Amino acid sequence: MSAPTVQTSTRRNLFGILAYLGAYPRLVFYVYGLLILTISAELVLPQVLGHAISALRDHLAHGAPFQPFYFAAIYLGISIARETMRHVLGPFRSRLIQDTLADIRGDIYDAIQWLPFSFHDANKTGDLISRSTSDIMRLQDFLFACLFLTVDITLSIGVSVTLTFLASPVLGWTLLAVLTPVICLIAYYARVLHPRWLAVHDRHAEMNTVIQENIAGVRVVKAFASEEREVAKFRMRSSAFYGAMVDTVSYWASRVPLAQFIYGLSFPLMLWLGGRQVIAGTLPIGTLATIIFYLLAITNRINLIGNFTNVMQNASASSERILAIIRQTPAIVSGQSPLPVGNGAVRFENVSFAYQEGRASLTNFSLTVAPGETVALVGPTGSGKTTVVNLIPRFYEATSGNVLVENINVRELSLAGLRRSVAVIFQETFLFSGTVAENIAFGRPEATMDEIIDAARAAQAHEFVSKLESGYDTFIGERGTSLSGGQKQRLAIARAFIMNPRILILDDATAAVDPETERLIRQAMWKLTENRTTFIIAHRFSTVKHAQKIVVLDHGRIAEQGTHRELIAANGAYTRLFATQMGREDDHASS
Amino acid sequence: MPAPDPLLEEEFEMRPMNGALLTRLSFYLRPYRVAVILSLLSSVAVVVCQLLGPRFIQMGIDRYLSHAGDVSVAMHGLLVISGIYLVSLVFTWIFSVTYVRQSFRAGQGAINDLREAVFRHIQALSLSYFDRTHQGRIISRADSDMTSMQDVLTNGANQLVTCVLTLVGVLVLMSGYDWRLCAAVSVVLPMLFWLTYWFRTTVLHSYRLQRAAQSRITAAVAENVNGIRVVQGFARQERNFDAFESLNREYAGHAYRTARLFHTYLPGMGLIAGLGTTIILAYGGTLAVRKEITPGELAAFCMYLGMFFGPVQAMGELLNQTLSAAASAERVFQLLDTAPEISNAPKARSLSRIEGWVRFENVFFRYAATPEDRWILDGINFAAEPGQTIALVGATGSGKSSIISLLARFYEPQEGCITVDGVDLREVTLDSLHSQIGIVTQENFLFTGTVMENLKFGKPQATDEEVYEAARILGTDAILLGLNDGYVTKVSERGANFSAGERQLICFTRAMVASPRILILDEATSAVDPQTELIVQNAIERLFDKRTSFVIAHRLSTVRKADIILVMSEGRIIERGTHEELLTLGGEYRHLHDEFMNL
Repeated sequence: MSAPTVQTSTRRNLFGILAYLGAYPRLVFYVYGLLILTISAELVLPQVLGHAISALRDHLAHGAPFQPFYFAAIYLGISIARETMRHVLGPFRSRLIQDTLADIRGDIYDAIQWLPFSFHDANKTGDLISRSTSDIMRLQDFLFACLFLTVDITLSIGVSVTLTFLASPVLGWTLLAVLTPVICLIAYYARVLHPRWLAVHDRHAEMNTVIQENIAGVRVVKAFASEEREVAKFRMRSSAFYGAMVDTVSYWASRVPLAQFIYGLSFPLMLWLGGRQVIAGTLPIGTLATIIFYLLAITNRINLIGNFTNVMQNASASSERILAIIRQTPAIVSGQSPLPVGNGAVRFENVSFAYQEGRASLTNFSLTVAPGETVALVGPTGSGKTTVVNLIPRFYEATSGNVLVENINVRELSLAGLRRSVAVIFQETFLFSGTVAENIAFGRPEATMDEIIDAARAAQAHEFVSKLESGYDTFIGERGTSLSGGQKQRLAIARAFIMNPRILILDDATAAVDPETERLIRQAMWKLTENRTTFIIAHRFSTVKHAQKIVVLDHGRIAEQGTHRELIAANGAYTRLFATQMGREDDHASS
Repeated sequence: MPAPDPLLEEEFEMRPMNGALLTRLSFYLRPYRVAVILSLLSSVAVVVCQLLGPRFIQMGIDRYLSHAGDVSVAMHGLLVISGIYLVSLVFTWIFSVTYVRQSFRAGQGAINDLREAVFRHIQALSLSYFDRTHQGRIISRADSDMTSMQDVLTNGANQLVTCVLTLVGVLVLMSGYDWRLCAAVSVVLPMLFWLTYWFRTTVLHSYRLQRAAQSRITAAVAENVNGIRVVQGFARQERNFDAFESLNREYAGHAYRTARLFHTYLPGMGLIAGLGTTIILAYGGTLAVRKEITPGELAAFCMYLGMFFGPVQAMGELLNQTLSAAASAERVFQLLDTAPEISNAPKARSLSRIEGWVRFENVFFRYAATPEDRWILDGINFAAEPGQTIALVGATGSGKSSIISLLARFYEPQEGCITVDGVDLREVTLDSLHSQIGIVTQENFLFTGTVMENLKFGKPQATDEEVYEAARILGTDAILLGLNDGYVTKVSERGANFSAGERQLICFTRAMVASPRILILDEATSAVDPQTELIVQNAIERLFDKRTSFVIAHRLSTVRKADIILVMSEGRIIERGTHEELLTLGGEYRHLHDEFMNL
C-alpha cells in the first residue's frame, strides 16, 4: 500500500509550492480573471466566422441580407480586445511567477544558511546548488502550467466539445471518440518517454564527465601516455549516449505521430458526418465551419498535453527536493543570553558526541581551560580533535554533557554573539569573491579602513596586499586575481584578527609553502594567539611545544594531558605519536 | 572588478553563417547523405499533404454542401473527398515518421563524429595549449558548442525548406482562388516578418542579461554552500541573505522583462492574425456577395491564413540558431586547426627500455607567456646516473617545476638539449617516453570510477595481484584496504571523498603499478597527521628504489636521502651536492635548512 502514500505526498508537495501564491491574492485574482476573459474572446471568434459563412450562404441561396463589414468589424473588435487583454495579462502573470520563484529561492537560500554543519556534512555541495537553481527553474514551468496551461487546455477543449454537442450530438460523440484516445495516448507516451529522456540526459552527463575529467586531468593523461585509451573510453560513452538517444527518438517517432494522426482523423470525419447533416438540411453550413475552426484551435493544445504531463512529473520531484530543505528545522537554535564580559573561559563537562548514532567521536570529555591559555590538541586522525573545537562555537550540539563559555552553557547563549567571539581558522582557507578589504572585514563589515589595514599588518599580509594591482580593492575569487596558498592563509588570519575574538581555534595545517612564507604565517598565528584562549589542532611537534597545555586524544577520549615536559617524562602516547618527528629534531641537533 | 564570465560571452556570440563554415560543416553530413536526402524528401511530402487539407474542406463545401442538388450524388461525392483527405493524413503520418528518424540520424550522427574529432584532437594538443586556455572553454568545445550546432544540423535545412515551401504553397493556392484577395491578405506577411525580426533581436539582449543575472545567483549560492562553515563561524547569515535577496530580485526583474517582450510579441502576432481574418471577412465577403469567390474558398482563406504564422515564427528561431551555431562552428574549427606544438618528429624512433641516464645540457627555456627578456630556466646543466635520486630545492618560481616538465617533454626548451640514455628527447616518440616515465603531481588527480581502476590507470593490463603487490611494497595496502570498500571503493569527482593523504597514497601506488623507469615526484604540500606522514615517507623511499628519480622536495626527510640536491634560484642552479656537503658549504641550502628547522 505504498503507492497511495507517494501520491498523497506528491500532491502535498505541489500544494506546498502553490501555497506561495497565497502571498499575492490580488494578482492571482487578476490573472485568472483575465485569463478566462481572453480564452472566452478567442472562443467567440470561430462563432463570428461561422455566422458569416451561414449568412453568406443564405444570401447566395435566397438573397437574405449579408453585410461583410458588419462581421469584419465585430471580428476585429473582439480580436483587439483579446490581444489587449493578453498584453495586460502576460506581465501580471510573469510578475506573479517571478516573485513567487524569488520568494522560494530566498527561503531555500536562507534555510541552507542556517542549517547546521551536520546537515552540510551529509549533503553534497552540487546537490544543494542544483536544488536552489535548476529545481526552481523547473517550478517556473509548473507555475506557468497552473496559472495558464491547465485553464487554457481544459476550457478550450471543454467549450469546443460542449458547443459541438449542442450543434449536433452525433458530431459531439465523434469528437469525443477521437479526443479521448488521443489525450490518453499522448499523456501515456509522455509518461513513458519522460524517464527515457532522463536516461538520455544521464548518458549525456556521463559522456561530459569523461570530457571534463580528461581536460582537468590532462597532465595525468599525458604522463601515463593514455591518450588512446581515453579516446576509447570517450567513444564508449558517446556511443552509449547516441544509442540512448536513437532509442528514445525512435520510440517517439513510432508513437507520437500516430496520436497526431488519430486527431487528424477528426477533420475528414467532421467533413463527412457533418456534411451529411448539412446536405440533409439539419445542420447550418456555418456551424460545421465553426466546428472545424474549433478543431484547428485545439490542435496545438493537444500537443501541449504531453508537455503538461512532463512538467507535472518534474515539478513533483523538484518541489519535494526544495521543500525537504525549507521544511528542515535547524537542529541548533540560538539561546537568549548575551555573552557576558569575560576573557574566554571554556569548560567541557562530561561531553560526549557522535556524528552518527552509535559511533561516538567523543566520550565523557572533560577539560577546563583558563582565560588566555593555549591548548594543543593532538592525536591520530579520527581521535576527536576537530570534534572538540567544533563544539565550542556550537557548530555541532553535544550529544550529552555541557560545553560552557564564560561559565554559561553554550545552549543558553545567543548564537551570533557566541560565534562572533570565537574565531576559527579552518584547515582549508576559504575566501569569498569580493575585494581584499571585504574579505578581511567579513565578520565585521562595518570595520573602518584603518582597522582593516591594522589587521592585515598584524597578519603579515599588508606587504603583499599593497603590491597587488589595486591594493585592498583588488578583486579576488574565482574570476579575480588569484592568490597563493600562503597569501590566502594570511588573509584568513587577518579576517580573524579584526574580530578581536576572545577564543581562537586554529587548525594548524599550513600548506608547506616555502620556508620564508611559512615563517611569516607562523609569526602571524602566534601573534594572534596573544591574550586569547586558544585551541590548536596540532600536527607538528614544533607547534605543540609552544602550548601551555597539551591534550592527547585517542578514540574520543583523553589519553594524556599535561605540559610538554610532563608528557615526555610520562613516555606514553605523546612520545609514541611524535617519535618520528622528534627523531628528526635529534638528527638535526647532532649535525 | 571581477572579469566578465568568458563562457557566458561565448554563449551569446553570434556570427553570420558563411560559405566556408557551411561547406566545412556539410563535410560532416556527407556520410549521412542518404538520410539527409530522405528527410528532405519526406519533409516536402509532409508540407504538400498539409497544404491540401483546407483544399479538401473547400471542395467539400463548394461542390457538395452549398448546392441543393441530387442528395445521393452529394453524399457520395462527400464520402470520396473525405476518403481522399483521410489518405493524405495517412501519408502525413508515414512521412513525419521518416522525416524525424532520418533527420535525427543525420544530424546526431554528424555531431557525434565532430565531437569525437574534437576530443581526439584535444588529446594531441600540448600542455602549453591547456596553460593558456581556460578549462571551461575547452570543455565547451566538446559540449555546449555541439549542442548549439546540433539543432541546425538536424533540422536547419529541412526547416528552411518546409517554411519556404509552406509560405509559397499557401500563396500559390490562395492566388489560385482569387489573386486580389490573396494580395490583400498578404499584407500581413511583411508585418509578421518585421515583428518577428524585432522580437528576435530584442529578446536576445534581454536573455543575455537574464542569463548573466542567473549565473550570479548560481555563483552566490555555490559560494555560500562551499563557504558555509566560514559564514556560520562569523555569523554572517543575515547580511548574506540581504545581499542574496538583491541578486534574487534583480534576476526576477530580468526574467520579468524578458517575459514582457513575449507578451508584446505574441499578442502582436495575434493582432496581425485578427487583421488578416478581418480583411478576409470584409474584402472576401464583398467578393463573395459579387459571386466572385465561393463560401468554401472564403473558409479556405481563413484556414490558410493560419498557416502563415508557424513558418514565420520558426524562421525567426532558425535565424538565431544559425547565428549561434555559426559562432560555435567557428570556435570548434579553430580548435581543430590548432596544431600541437609538440609532436613526434618525422624520423622519431621508439625509445627502448630506459637505463636511467638523464642529462640536461645548457638548457634555456621560457613559456609562451613569459616576457622575451626573461628565461625561466637560464642555462641548466646536470647529469643523473641510473638509480640516483635528484632533489630540486628552491623558492616558488625558481624553475623546479619547469625542469621536470621539460624532462617529461610537456614542453621543449628553446636552447640546449635533454637526453635520456644519451638520446635527445626530440628524436623519440612521445608514447615510448611517457610510458616509461611516472609522474606524481601535487594535485593528486583521481578519475571517477573505482580505486582499482585508478591504480591501473598507467597500466590497464595489470592484474589485481600486481596491484596488491605494488601496494604491499609501498606499504600503502593497509590504507587502501581500510577505505570503505577497499580497492573497489568508488571515487567521486576528483577524489573528493578521500582525504589529502589518502589521495596522495593512491597516486603513489598508481605510479608504482606503472613501474616507470624514471620517476618524477612533485611532493604534495598538505600536512597530514603523523602516522600518515610516516607511511608517506616510507612509500616515497620505496618508490625511488632502483629507478632514476626526480623530486621537488618539501620534506627534509626526502631531501636528506637524495644523491644530488640541486638548489635553484631564478632559473639557475646555485648549489649542488649531497645534504652533508651543502650543509658544510654554509650557503643558501644551509639557510633554507635552518629556517625550516626553526619553525
